[in-house]
Amino acid sequence: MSRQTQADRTSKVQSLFSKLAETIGRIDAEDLSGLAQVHGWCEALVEIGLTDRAAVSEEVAHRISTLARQLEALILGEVANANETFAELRAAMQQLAAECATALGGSADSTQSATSLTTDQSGRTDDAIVIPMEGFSDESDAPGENGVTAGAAAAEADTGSLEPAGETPSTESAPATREAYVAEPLKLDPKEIEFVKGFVEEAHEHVEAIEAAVLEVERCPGDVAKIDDLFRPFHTIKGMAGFLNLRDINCLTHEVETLLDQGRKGKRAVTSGVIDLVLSVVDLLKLQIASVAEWLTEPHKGVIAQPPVAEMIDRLRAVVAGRLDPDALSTARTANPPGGAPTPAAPPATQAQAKPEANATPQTPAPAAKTAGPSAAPSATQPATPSASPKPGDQSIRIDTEKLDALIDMVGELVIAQTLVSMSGDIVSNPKLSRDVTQVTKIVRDVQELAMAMRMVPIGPTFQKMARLVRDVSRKAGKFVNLTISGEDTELDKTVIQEIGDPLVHMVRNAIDHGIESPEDRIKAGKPETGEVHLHAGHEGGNILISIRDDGKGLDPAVLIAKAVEKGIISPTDELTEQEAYSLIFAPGFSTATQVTDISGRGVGMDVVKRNIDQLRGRIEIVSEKGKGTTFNIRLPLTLAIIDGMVIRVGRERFILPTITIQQSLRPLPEAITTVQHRGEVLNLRGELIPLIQLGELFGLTDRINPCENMVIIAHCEGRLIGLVVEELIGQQQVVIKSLGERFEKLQGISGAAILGDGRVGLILETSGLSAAHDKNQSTGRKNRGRGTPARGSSRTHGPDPGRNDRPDRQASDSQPPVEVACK
Amino acid sequence: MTTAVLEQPTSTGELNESTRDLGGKYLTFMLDDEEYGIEILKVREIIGIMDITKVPQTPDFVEGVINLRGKVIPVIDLRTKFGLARTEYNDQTCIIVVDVGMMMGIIVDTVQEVHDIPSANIEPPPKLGSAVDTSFILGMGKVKDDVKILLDIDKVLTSEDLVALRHFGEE
Repeated sequence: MSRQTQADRTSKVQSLFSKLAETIGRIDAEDLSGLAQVHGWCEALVEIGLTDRAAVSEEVAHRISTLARQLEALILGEVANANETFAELRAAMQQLAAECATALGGSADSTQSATSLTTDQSGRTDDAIVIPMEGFSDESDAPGENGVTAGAAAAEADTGSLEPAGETPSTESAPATREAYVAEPLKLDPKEIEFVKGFVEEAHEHVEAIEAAVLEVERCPGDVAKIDDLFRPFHTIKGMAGFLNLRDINCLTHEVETLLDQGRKGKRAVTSGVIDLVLSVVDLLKLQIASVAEWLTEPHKGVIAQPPVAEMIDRLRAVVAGRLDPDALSTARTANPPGGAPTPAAPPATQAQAKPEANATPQTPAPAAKTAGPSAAPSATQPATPSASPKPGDQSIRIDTEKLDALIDMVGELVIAQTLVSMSGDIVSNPKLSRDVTQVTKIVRDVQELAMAMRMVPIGPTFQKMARLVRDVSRKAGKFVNLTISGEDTELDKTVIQEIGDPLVHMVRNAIDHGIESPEDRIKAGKPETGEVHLHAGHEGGNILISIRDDGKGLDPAVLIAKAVEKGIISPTDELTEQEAYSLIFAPGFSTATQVTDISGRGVGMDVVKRNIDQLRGRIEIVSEKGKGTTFNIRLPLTLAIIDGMVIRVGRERFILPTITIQQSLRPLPEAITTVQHRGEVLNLRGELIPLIQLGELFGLTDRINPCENMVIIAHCEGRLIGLVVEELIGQQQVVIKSLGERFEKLQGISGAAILGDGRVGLILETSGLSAAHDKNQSTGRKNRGRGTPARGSSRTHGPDPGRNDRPDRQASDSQPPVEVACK
Repeated sequence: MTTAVLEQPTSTGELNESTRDLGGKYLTFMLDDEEYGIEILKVREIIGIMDITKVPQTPDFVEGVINLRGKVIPVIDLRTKFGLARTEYNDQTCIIVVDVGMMMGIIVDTVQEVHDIPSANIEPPPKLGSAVDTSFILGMGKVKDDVKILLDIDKVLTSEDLVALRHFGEE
């Protein structure tokens, strides 16, 4: 080809690249026309490359076409996380453009034909290659300086080890000594399944440690010990992955290790850009671990699909080699959120540093972040870094939860058996025997406590995980949020901790998304620019209390009601109390977000939260003040295996009502009872109208029980109170919970079974189901006949119960006008 | 006791008696004046009738649940399941605990004994027309002059109506 045309093409390529770089730096993920333009240029470049390998090398062309394809997916809306994908795309394009510009720009550069570079492997569309560069002119072998940079870069990027920049690449004949990372399909041996399982579990723990450590390093970037803390888990994961031949993970962690090593040796300042890079590596690592975990479910599937790591590895190598500035990458990303640059919600900035912000990105609100300092200080919180916790050399042992559960079951039975023995008449009457049995009792109680304690885990780490969430979410939302935590030593049952994680995440997200206002609004409202989210855990009244408090704009009952009416959840004429209005947010499909962001607002959050908490046999209540903030209080029982319950009798059957739900019990006076035409009976308790539920009728056990001659138990039910009419209150008891099995899981009002003190089974009641069943009965006008079951009582007759069919009709209302009671 | 898993009939419900050896030990019991048998390998234990905790909103034949050494297991009244009239329990009434994937109890009038019935003495269930569902009968076992109805206890206890238990609460 003639030089002339060559130069033309070269300059065309140059201009395309520069247009590309400029445009993509300018637009955002939503700018479809901009994206389309860039896409067009990409195609043009690829086209040139088809005919002119000198102007656009094969590798470059390939890279561009890969990027173009990703662009297409973005334009078509097929990408899940548009903004992030776009940011990465942009970074990749800018990098490519920069490299090409450098290569093309230098007059004397000569760099050789592309080296090694194998392209894509196993049909993945990710950008597997590193550096392009070559053959722009047939000039001499002497590499020009720019050429050197590019070529050397190529050389370095390729091998697995670090070589100092500036090393002359071998000439066109020899392939580069370093090869770009080429991922290989991962195959695991089913025989190694135990090892892999162990790896996945431990890797998760290490990732958690990493996330906590990253935020620590961000707070104190100069602290070498903290960088060490960050380095170590990566190193451990690398080792484990290497052992199991998990190449992707191994290489990825190796690269990040190298980067961190530079940091701890002082060769690199750990800027915010570096932190972001490390965090994105962590995300990728999580995906990798997840893909391995998925293999565990189908060990014989063969090849495992893994998220591509090659690009990340290349990026890391580029950063390590100094060819890429992590902060530039980061700017690209953070330029995205509109408006204010976000504050990293560093966990309690008791130390007023937040210095990391200073150097990296255009975060003018850095000073604002410091205002978080004084406001955080008063709250007596411990910094998110648990000072005490990971003591090196902590002796611990991993135990299968099944074994623990079996142990606890047995201990439960032991307690019952021992109780029976100690209550038996023969023991009581014999003093010596009695003493011995008391001794046994004491020991059994100790064993019970120990067994319970074994499952208890402090909630601290769960709260710590929120730190990263707060950082990410507040950034995305363009708000400043400071997270503080207290009571992280509070211990909960392991299962509870696992189940409470997701609900907490939802609620924290909501607090930031919906609760905390934007910085401008906050200032207008006279609040500090940085919002506060506070997580607290503690014991209260024999239960665990977890609360999430924000100082945002609070809940507005009017808005909630309006939204609910709009969604058809309630009718316009319904009257709701403030609490009931708050409870609306738990209705499925409810959401007041006018704009669905990718983090919340889809209306699937809070009802799932409520369900999770109900399953834990807990309660959630809302306290809010418009303009001031909202607090969610979650109350949970201490353990899942044993429940503190009130044993009650209805007919011949005994039920257990969890004490956590009981507010009080009483025998009302007849004057306090009102009958309502469609709703049965209502109790007037100091002005509050509480619907009465006839358990005997509901379960088909007895006829109507007169509350005034028996007992009414007032219980909590989804933020309201209901009254359960029972025949007798037998007493409070701690009972061991047993599952009824899947066959019985959909029973309304029954949440499980328990073995009572005498070994018999008692069903555990659950108020919201009872209320729902009661409402249903009332509205359809039928009572739940137990199909021949009632009064199985005295004789075990199976014949149809004579008393059943002539039951009195529903109470006719008295002369009083019917009272409308909102029973939602 | 070793647990052997006997071959299940094909899913279409047809019993391939020809390919399956039905001979073996069967525990026999009475419901009214009819004699039934269950494969002994599925029987875990036999207990006398005890207090059964009723569970509301369950089908007729589900009597309730009992505490079996720490485990709560459901108990089915076999008479009701087979459409027989209920009767009073007496000291002969027993609960046979069977393992059908999960533990369940069935209430029977009396328990008799374990018979070893060779497959030669087992005949396919009679075709009584479409009105009577005989899919849960393994076969008719002949012991001397008596005929015992050999039950496929898995089918009996895991049939559709039990699955329907799930939906009771939603009604």
